[in-house]
Amino acid sequence: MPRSRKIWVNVKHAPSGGLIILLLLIMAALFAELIAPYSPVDQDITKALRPPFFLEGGTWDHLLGTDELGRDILSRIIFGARISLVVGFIAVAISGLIGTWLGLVSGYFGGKVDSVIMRLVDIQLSMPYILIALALIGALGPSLRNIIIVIGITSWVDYARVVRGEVLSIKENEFVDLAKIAGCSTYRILLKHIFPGVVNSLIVLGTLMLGRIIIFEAALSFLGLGVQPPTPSWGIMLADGRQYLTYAWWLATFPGFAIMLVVLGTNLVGDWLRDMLDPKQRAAVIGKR
Amino acid sequence: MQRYIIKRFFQSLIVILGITVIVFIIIHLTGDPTDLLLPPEAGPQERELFRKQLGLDKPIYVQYFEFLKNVAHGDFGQSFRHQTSAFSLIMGALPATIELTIAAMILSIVIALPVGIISAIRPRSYYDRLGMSFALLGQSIPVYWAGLMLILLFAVTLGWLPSTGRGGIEHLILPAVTLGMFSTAAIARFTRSSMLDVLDTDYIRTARIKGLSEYVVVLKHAFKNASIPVLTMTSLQFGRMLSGAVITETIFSWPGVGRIAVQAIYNRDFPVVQTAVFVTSVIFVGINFLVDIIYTYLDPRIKYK
Amino acid sequence: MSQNEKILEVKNLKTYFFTNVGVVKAVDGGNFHLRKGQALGIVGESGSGKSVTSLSILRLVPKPAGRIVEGEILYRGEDLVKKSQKEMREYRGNKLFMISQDPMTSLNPVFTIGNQIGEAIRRRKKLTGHDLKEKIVEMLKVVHIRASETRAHAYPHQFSGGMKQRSMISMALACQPEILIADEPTTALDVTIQAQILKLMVEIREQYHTSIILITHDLGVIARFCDYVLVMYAGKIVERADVKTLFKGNRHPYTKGLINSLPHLGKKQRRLESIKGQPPDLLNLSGGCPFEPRCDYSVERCSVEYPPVESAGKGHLLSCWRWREI
Repeated sequence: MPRSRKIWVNVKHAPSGGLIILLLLIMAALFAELIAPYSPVDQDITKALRPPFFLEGGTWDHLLGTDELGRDILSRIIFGARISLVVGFIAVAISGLIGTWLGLVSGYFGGKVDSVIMRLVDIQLSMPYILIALALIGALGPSLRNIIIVIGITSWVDYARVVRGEVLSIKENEFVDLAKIAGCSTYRILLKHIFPGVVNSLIVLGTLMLGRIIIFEAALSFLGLGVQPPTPSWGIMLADGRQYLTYAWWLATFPGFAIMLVVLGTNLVGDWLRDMLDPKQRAAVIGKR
Repeated sequence: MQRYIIKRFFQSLIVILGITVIVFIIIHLTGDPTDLLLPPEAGPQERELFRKQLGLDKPIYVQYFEFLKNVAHGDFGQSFRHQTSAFSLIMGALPATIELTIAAMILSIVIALPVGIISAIRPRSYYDRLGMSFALLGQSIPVYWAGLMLILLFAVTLGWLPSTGRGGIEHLILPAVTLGMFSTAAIARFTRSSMLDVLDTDYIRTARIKGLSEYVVVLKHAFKNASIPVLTMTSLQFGRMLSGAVITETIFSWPGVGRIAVQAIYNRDFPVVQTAVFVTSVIFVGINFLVDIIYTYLDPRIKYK
Repeated sequence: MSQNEKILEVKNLKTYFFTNVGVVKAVDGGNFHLRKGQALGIVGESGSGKSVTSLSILRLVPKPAGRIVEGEILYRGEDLVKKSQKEMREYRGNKLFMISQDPMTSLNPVFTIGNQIGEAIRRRKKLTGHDLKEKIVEMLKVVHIRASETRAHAYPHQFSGGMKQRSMISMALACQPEILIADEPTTALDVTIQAQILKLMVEIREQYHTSIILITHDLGVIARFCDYVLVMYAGKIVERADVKTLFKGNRHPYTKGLINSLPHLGKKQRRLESIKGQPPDLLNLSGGCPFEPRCDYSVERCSVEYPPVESAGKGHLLSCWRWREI
């Protein structure tokens, strides 16, 4: 007897908004030099703090206005996408690798290994990740490389838990026992039988984590311990904007809006992927009112 | 049940121990404080003496045990910057952070639970779609930007609310809303999905077969079951908030642990940093432990595992 | 009020599920009635529409996919299809009750058994405190749950399957319904427990003169318990008769197949008989008789047109083009 909701979720049409946003992000990052009207580091004090084009005093030259050093905001946002994306992808990869590996081991072997890894998860979760990251970067020095590494090693937890959960439920299946009986090596079992079942969740999680890591990087930059000026990071732009909030609101508003859009994009696409890839929700049901 | 509580207690202790290890490692990564504390003209002999004084010449594991011993006494050393012990500095700032976090948490729950429940009982309705769209938005907005925009709107443009400092309720509103935004969204979405799962079960159908009113079915039968995972999620959010308070406190100049910690990192005032990390973490572990105990009252199946 | 009056009349009931891969006609033209004190059996395979029929009567068809598109369900003359959910709540737990298939999941895990039975009791009488506790214990005793004082404070996961089902029956008794629907009440239980449950239901029927609709795929249970039987296949009631006629005088090919597939005690059999073919694909039904692909007697007409309902004797109705010849 069909249960109403489990087969109820709409096979969503692809979230066009989300995909477009992500596409724009990737384009901006790849082709910044071609798209952006100005260089992100071109200073011109005479043009400092120009408002965006739709306000009085603004021109079409600088659509989103200029900052305190006369740099074009729009261009800086476009170039900022590159930083966000680079940090985002690499950090997602690093944290994904660490977390997935720990999750696989923890879920598959169980017992003491599982306990130890779960304690590690608890420890990591209990600690305020921003402070830890700040402290580590403070200690190691704020370079792009360090930022990526630090973000990577503080963000592995979600992967570990999700992967572990998946492995535990995959383990219940008989084919795992059969593989063991057939004499497959542990390594082979993990790779060929268990990992494929985990991939879907990883794709979803990776997409969602991309958004969160972009926010994380911008947060570090905002606090001054991320990417250093003059490299344009959305976080730094926000930090600048904070100082001029009262009379030049556009410095802070637009970069932050860009961050929000990007994260909205990753969330939309991530949710859609989750609905699509979850085998329980394949057959869908529409109700007619 | 006793056994379960004791087990969880020891697990918590192990976690705290692990935290001390990590804190210790981080501090040692930051390098030799000798360079910081002594004037640059100090000669090598003075440095040796100083290091001996601080116990920095001993092997690492001995240093760790000294550290552990001190921590157990609440001694994290003196702040390099201020003339007080790091511990008292952090403890002095703690009430402010707790006030902010609790305010944000209450705000979150009060908004998110009804939104999630109503969305679940009228799925796909206009109300549901509106609520979930806002929730999605709320999870996409970075804390720092939200704070700045709220300040822009309510403090700068409208002038209704102050943008910095701690004081009466009017000082609390903007920071609490900023801090609580993400959690509200997350809890709302999760409550909705948890409720939807529960409303689909056979036992809810039994409740309906009995002819109980929708209020009773939803609020008594469904919610009690749905609230269990929501509780876990909420306590995780609380931990997130303690972390996220760092940024909120900085933006609003709220005199809490987060702001002090960030300042300390700028000033390389390591004792303060390590205290802040440690205290925040221990509080989170404590809350988790409490939540576990509350669990056993909510879900009768746990006791017998 | 005559002893044998019809208290429930289902007329041309059509309950469909609208999915994005097609429409499932779970119940497609259900017609039957139930008399006071009668035990009506509905037998059929999974997917035949028997459960959906009972959910339709209670108006608990899972939304938004499922809907009663046509038909009347007259309970003492009142059409339940036209009632709002609020009005239906008056009937449920009061005049109508249902025991579901799976006792393991039918009880709320976070409340005690006593609490849940208490709710059922309070549908009839607003008892509280000590009076309520007494009544709960009494209800548990009636279904032969021992140590009922302590058991009342237990949680569902502490009960065995049989005890859970008995708790459900206890709830049913507390509601004192006029119509009790039991949807596969014994399927999930051991055979010995099955007997106990059935015995309880017989007691209920005798004591309270409750009408019972028993849904099952187990013909043995039908034989022991029911007065009258409906045989359902792919949403249609293909044959209906009193229980004796069903077993001895059935005329529909599907019914024959079902009865013949029962192993016979005392008779040597080389092979067990079964009905050939696959269960019907409810998304792709032809307009004709849904049993046609598996029927030994089918002719061309069977796959094109659904046969009308014809009478083969007193109270014996069926739908088959060739029943006279078989």
